[in-house]
Amino acid sequence: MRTKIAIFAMAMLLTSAIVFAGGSAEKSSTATAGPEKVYWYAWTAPANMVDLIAAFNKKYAGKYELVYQKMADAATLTINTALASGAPISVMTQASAFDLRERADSGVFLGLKQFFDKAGLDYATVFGKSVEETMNFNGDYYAVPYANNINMVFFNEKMFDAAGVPYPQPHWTWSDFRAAAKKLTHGTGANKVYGAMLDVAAPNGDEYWATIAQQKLGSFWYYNSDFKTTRFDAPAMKESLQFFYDMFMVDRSAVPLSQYTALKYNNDTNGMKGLYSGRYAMWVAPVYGSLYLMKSYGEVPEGTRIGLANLPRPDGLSQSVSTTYSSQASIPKNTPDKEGAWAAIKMATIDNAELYAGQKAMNPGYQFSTNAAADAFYKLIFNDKPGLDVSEALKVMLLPRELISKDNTHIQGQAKINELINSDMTLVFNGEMSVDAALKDLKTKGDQYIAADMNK
Amino acid sequence: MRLNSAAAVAARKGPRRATHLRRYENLTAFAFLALNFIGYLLFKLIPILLALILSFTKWNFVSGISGVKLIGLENYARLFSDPVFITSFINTIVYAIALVPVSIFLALVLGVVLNEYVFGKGLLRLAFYLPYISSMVAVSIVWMVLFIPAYGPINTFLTNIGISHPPRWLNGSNSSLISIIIVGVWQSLGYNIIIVLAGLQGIDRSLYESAEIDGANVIRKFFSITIPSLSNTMFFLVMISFIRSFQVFTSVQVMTQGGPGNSSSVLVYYIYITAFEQSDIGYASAMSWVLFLLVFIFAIVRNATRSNQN
Amino acid sequence: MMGYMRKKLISKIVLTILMVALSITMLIPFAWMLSASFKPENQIFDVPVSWFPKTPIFKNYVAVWNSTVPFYIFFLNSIKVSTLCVIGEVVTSALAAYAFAKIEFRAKEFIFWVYVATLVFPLQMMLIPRFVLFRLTHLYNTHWALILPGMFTAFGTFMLRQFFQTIPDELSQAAKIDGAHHFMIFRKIIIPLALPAFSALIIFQFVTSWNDYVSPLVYLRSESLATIPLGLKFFQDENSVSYGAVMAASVCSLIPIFAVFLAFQRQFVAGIAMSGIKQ
Repeated sequence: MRTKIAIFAMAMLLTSAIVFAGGSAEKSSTATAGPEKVYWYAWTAPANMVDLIAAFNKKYAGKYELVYQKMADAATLTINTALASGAPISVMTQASAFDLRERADSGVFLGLKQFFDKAGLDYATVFGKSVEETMNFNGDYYAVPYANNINMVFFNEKMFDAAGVPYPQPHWTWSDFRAAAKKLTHGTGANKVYGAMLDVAAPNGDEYWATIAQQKLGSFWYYNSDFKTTRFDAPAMKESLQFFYDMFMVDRSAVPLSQYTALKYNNDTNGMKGLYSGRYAMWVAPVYGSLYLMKSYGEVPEGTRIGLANLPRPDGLSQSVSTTYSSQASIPKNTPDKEGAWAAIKMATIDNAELYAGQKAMNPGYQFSTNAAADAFYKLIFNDKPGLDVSEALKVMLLPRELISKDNTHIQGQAKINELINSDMTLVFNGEMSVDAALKDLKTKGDQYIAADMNK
Repeated sequence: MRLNSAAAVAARKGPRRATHLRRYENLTAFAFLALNFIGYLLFKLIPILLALILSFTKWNFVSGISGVKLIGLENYARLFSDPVFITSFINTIVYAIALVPVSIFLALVLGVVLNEYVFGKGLLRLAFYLPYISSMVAVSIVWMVLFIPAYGPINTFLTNIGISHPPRWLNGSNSSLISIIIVGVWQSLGYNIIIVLAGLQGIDRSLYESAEIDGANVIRKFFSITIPSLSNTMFFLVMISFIRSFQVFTSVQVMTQGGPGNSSSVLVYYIYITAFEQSDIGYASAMSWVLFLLVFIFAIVRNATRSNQN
Repeated sequence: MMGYMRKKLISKIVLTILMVALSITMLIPFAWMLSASFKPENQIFDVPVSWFPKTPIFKNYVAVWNSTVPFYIFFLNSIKVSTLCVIGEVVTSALAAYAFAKIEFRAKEFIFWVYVATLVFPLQMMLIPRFVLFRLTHLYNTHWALILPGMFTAFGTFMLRQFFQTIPDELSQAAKIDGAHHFMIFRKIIIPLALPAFSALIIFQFVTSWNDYVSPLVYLRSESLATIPLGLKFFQDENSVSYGAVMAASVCSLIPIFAVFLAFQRQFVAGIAMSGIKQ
């Protein structure tokens, strides 16, 4: 036994020594006289960064060099640890508006208005009113959206044909959506086919239960205009929650919460797969949902036709309104080179978004100035997506729509309100809490949370 | 029952010898303990004390040391009126009380069987240990599918044998914690079995042989020889099982995120999301310290009752 | 006598069958993992669950070992970190446990109870204090940040102390009368008798270090230093989780654990450990 341990230990030590010899700490980059390194931190697949890096290094040859650092994930902890670790970071990307605000308030990020002023750009003109509203913290901006993810509805054209349901009209309403979903639902048990799949209540998920409220109430959807109280008692909130509650619990035309979390339909790859596999006929997802038709995410069956439709509008609003959320890039205060970081951000988010957002089938952060520009961009992102009804998709994307940002960057009370939404909505969509009780709970406690934070 | 050997020897040799001997014992003990204690001090005690200091602050660690804000006892005051904390605390205790006896009893029985009463011991033991070492991703994916209320395998089986309204498992407030407990027992079984197996090796075979000669059957041998001889192991097993069950986290994080509502929220999960999703390290540290103090008191009480037994 | 032996044999067979049946429930997630690792990506989440892949592929395993993500480096890093943790843990804990179990010294009970009580402090709460500590001592982003905390734990001390206590004092007393000092007693008497306990500790500590995913996430930044749990995250990016590759990597990562387990669990043999001791 002793000899066995000894042999085992020796073998392991030997292996360790070999690996150890490779060096345990990263060698610090030698300060060479060469281009300034610009460190871009994100969770993007390295393959999707290649074109941006090449273009940037070409444009700034000799001056800057873009270096990509892939993070382990995009969780709050991982990003915060990287920011606190003292590593040189030129650009940090994130997709959580709450985290962005916290980091800005903690003094981690650089104010970016100075760069916009110097370049003669107006934030609101470039990115649109709704985004500007949510990204403006006390007059300065701490992040630039590299993608403005517009919520749309993908639908399985073959299933619509089979059920004799007409394709969604350009400016269809939620009533149309609900009726279609009912007609498209059939079967029982494990083989039941649902009309729609949307993530209404998974904790920290898309929270689509609030869509109608967001469409009607605008930015900062649950804060009153004075930001002192919540508006969970607004009629639009009840309309929103009641609508989706009825779809899920009464019509039973949408995949139940218990199933879509277990089967991971709320994971985008599986979401698209469920759609073309015929598990459900409609899928609410942002524009980048089309990415998952690419061959690398799985073989799309022959004859698949996936259509794209506008997000339905509430009865009472005359034109289409789409909710959006942004993915942003920021510059940490202790970045090694401010100008280099700004150059990289400007190229990736404004000048050449096709090299960054475009690679991931994401809608760029900025508003298109002309229809031609929009058309060109969408042609790019819908290219090579087998099964996608491209002409239909292009038509739909060019339809006029108002955009409302879901990014909630107001801090007071938000952490605890979000926690409460998570817990109450799981109860509602599991049938254990009524719509009225949930909204009342959110209103009462939400107001308390805001008051508590404001008193600090 | 343990003789205080050094002191007995010392006493026989006279008072001056006794002090010498005691000092020698103290120094030797120090020498043996030093290595472990220094590392333990640096990497466990100091971080725990740092956490204590942090519990009196409000701090988002991304802002660096300069962002630390002292707020006194505010975090502790908040604890007692925080319904989620109280629910998490109660859930954790329920989890521990449900899991520990079941898991230990099963581990004892299975451990004895796997000790010598089966063929292919090594492989069988490995099979029981597998749930503990498998990737939590795989474990949670499989259990979530098993637990699907509408047509998952478990409920399909239950409806087939006549139960008309099977539990909603992960998707019901009154069954989510039970589901986590089931997964917990299943996962901890292998771990506890190994401890039992190690302990069984220390039992004198001759005790069993003489019992057999007296005509004792398997059950008698189990209760009159195995269990008493395992008292040291049992003590360890109970303590460790309780401590580990107070730390239940990954299964909740991956399968229910504390839901529905807060029905499956446990302390370490709430501490984690407070610290790392809401970036409120101070409050999370305060919760950790309350948890720690409560178990510390429990341990002291246990020690007091046990030394009475000695 | 023959009838008795036959009865024992039959009961052994019956029990084996029962245990195999029971162990199948233990194996289900592993079976799912194994099966998923041989499936193409879009078949993994099929419902109802198909335990045998319709079209088995090896692509996932190739992807794991032959991709831009250097899995073999994660593998070696994990071996290095886990081995050093185990060696350190066993040595320091054995010494400390001997002190607690066999030597009388001042404040012994108190120190021991501090050890045990601190076991409950959640690892998650020590992440940030340790992060600060490692940044200050420049151990951040090195393997020592993973190895050092794993080498000095209260768990090992607690467990070994319990096992050392089961070793009768008569043995060490006899040795003392022969003139042996503590270290000799430790080496010649305690260690050989506590081999099952050491085996258990080795298995536990190896698995704990091997599967720890949150420490590498917080204390390491460079991909080249990552251990397997952190490394698995590099198979994922914002657009996809390649579950097939993750499962294949997880299966591969279980093999060293199997090896360690099977090698050391042989110590758990109902054997002659204590039969030499007669009053």
